Amino acid sequence: MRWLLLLLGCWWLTACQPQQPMPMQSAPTALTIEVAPTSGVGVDLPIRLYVAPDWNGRVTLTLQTSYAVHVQTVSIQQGLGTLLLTKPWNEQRGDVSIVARVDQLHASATTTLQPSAVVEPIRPLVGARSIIANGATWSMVVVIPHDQFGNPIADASLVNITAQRPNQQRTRLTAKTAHLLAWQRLYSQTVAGKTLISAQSQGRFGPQAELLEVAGWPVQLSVQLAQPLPRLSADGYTFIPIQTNLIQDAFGNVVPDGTSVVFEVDDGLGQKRSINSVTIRGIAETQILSPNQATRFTIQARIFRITSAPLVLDIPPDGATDFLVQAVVATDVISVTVGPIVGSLQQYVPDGTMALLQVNGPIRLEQTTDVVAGYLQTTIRRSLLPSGRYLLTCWVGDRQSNQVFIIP
Amino acid sequence: MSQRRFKIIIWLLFLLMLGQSGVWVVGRVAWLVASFQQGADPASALKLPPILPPEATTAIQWLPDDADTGRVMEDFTRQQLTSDYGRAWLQWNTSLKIGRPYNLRTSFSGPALHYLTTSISASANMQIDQIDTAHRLQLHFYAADGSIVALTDTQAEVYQLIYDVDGKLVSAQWLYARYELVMLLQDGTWRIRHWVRHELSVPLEPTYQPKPQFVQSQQHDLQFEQRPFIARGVNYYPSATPWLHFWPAYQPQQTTIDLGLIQQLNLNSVRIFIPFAQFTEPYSTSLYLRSVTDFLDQAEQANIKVIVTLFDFLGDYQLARWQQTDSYLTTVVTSLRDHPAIMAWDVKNEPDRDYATASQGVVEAWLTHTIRQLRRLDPHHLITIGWSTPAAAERLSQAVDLVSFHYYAAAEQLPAAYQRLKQIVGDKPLLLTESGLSTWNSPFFPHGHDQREQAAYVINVSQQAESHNGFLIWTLFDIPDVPSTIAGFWPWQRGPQMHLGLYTADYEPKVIGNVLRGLEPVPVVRWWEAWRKPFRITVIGISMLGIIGGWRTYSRRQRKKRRTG
Repeated sequence: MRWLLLLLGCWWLTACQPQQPMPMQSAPTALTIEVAPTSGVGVDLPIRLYVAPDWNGRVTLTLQTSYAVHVQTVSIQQGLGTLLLTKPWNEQRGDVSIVARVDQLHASATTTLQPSAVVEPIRPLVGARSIIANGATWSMVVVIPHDQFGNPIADASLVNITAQRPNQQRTRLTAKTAHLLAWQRLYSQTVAGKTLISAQSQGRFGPQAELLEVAGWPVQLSVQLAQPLPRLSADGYTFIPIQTNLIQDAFGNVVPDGTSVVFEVDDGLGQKRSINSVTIRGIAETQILSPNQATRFTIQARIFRITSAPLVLDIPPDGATDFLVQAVVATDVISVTVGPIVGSLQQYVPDGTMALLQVNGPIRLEQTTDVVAGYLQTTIRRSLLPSGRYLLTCWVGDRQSNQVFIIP
Repeated sequence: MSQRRFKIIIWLLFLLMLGQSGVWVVGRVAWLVASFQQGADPASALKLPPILPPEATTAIQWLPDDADTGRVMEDFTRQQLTSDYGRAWLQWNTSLKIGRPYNLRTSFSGPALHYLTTSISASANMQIDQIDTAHRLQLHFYAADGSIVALTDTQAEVYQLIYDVDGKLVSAQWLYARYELVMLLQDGTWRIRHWVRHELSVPLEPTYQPKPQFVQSQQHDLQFEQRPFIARGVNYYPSATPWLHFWPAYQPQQTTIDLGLIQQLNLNSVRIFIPFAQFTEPYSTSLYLRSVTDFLDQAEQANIKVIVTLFDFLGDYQLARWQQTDSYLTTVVTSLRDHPAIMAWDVKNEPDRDYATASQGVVEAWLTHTIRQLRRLDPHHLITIGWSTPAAAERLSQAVDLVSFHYYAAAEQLPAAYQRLKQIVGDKPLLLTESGLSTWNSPFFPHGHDQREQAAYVINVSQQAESHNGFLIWTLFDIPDVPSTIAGFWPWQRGPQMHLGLYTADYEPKVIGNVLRGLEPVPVVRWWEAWRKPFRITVIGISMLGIIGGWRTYSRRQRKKRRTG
């Protein structure tokens, strides 16, 4: 126990002993940064710090690059210290702001990291991807050439752009990089097709890009029968094939497949229809059902605001024979049978042919019904008709037949 | 120790453990229930980009485009680009602050994303807090297909704080740079693919440009309409609706009455406060601004000049809030800057009191920045900071046009404070914007004063201040209801704050009110009047009772001793 107390006493006395005074060091009076004004990216860059008068210690260095904030302490021996700016801090193009601080002193310097040589691939970015081949519209080729660290290369670097046109002609353009990229307008020529584009800079190459040059607005649009028909009649079931001419622009380029064409049909009976179609190999087609009564069709094709001259088709009656109408008055209903309704070949008219029944008398009734298997069969409730004499008329196409019946 | 006592201790320990366990179980169950009540964060579930604070885009301005940009940019695209560029900076700042890449993919791609991610991950041994406060964009190129832009941020202003691993501030600096940018439209968002930084020299500060129709500074003095202007005024809140109740409950008729009272006191200035939180509320700000404008209109009619104190109750100076404070400044100042009643902008009331909670460096950096922004918005009005003491007013004196401070210490020491401040601030005019003495005279707490003392003090201080551009007294009215957040909880904190007015809460003029109106002479306070104060009377009374009680006890003991002896 006594030894232990002695030991503790010694330890306490040692702890209380004043520490050896540190050799006094004069405070730094001047701080200077020495760094090259420019350097290349990826190159180790020495940054020298001078602290007067022959100071020893540590200086805090703050570096601000394009993308990074970096803080490092630098050991100063005899007033001199060096920091090597290495990867990844030296890989980014742009200014590096360096601020050194010690005590109340601070110094700043700036160095510029220049981009290195361009590397592959040099990729041309083309937009719009599709333009009109009229010699006036244009697309753009944008190239962002970069060095091995992904930095855009120095301004005013030359970029050569080559475009092979659909007619195999070649267009060569030159652009200079500015604001980190190079761009040029690429005007169309007058032949539609695919233009292939490549870019090259400082002997470095890249993949091709494509630009479609397509036909512009058609200059002539007309409508015609797709094939000569042996007979055109209001039979209600024949389809009439209609097509446009070969649609071309002013330079003879055929409009692209899928160009939308609208056929506008006026059936001469007070109804107008629009039939949508698209072009295939420059021609748009459609088919129109022939009417069941004689009329005059007026047909026009339209692409946006361009409209063809009208095609007029006179559709004569199909020479069908008359039909009979029978009306049998029963207790509750009047049974109506019309038929046989036949066409010009003495055949049943197609099922679904529309017929109109009109009842005229003390009151007036109208009813439409489909023809099935050459006959029309329907009933009319007697309760709808007061007593009297009635004229029943049936219309099928432009033909009609009558029958009189009496409700007692 | 008896067995019974031992058992009691054991039982108490057991109950304590049981109680702790119970609290823990209840806490965990509550947490579990709460976690089931919450849905997933839609932004994380749907991978939506975080919502950009509206003020983040206010600091971005556009310069005229280059002559040939390839394609003319549509307004919609420009708005989208502005928003996405602001977001990019927000994501970068946030990532630097938290020390890991945070949502950088939303705003960066290609080499820019790679380098930012790498650099942020590599700087884990420090914390970087930075805020971008201004951007000026110029468009150079806009691709025909609308997917690529090249532009330059001609002047990015960034304030940056760097802390080491121990939280010690390593660096605090403004950075001015020009950034060349290439941005690509990807998935409907403009992302930065390349940027190259070029350092800029420190820009020229906007300067004060006096206008004759406003109060101007002329070396040490203030001038208005070519004549010296001596401010004689009060700090103003309505008695019934002080502090945060003022603008929400603003009544024009009340203002008319109160400004009439100020005129009766032969005063010509008033200092008002624009709370930060209220004037950043999206729906009520315009309403409150109409109220402020009405107040200024009435003040102008009454020939009263107004010092508008901004950012009242702002206590958070974090860099992340600077854009919001800039937005507040833009809203308030652009609405009011042409008003002739405004004498000066007071950037902040007593910012030096916030040094304890926010570091002095950050507070002063914010003040410097805000003064610069304010000067850009309004170069014609005087700018000041309402420091809490003359010593604090020595800071940033070169940044303001008018050095203002508050003074509540002994009136006899005021000349020395003026003299020292004049030596420090040079030819800047001085203004005492707060001074006063409370008439709270409690029988239980010391340091009370009566109305005569108040009058003597205020007149003494104001007479001295007249030779230094004037004074503004705190306040026009006593305020019966002082929130504890303003003055504190304890009665000795709240009491004095409630009785600083020239009028009582019932609109009764105090002695100082009558003196200012010329109805009474300045009272002379004799030394012996201090003994009339309720607290001293209480102390004397209690002492007398103590002495009497002690004497009687002593006498009783002596009698008892004699009897037993």
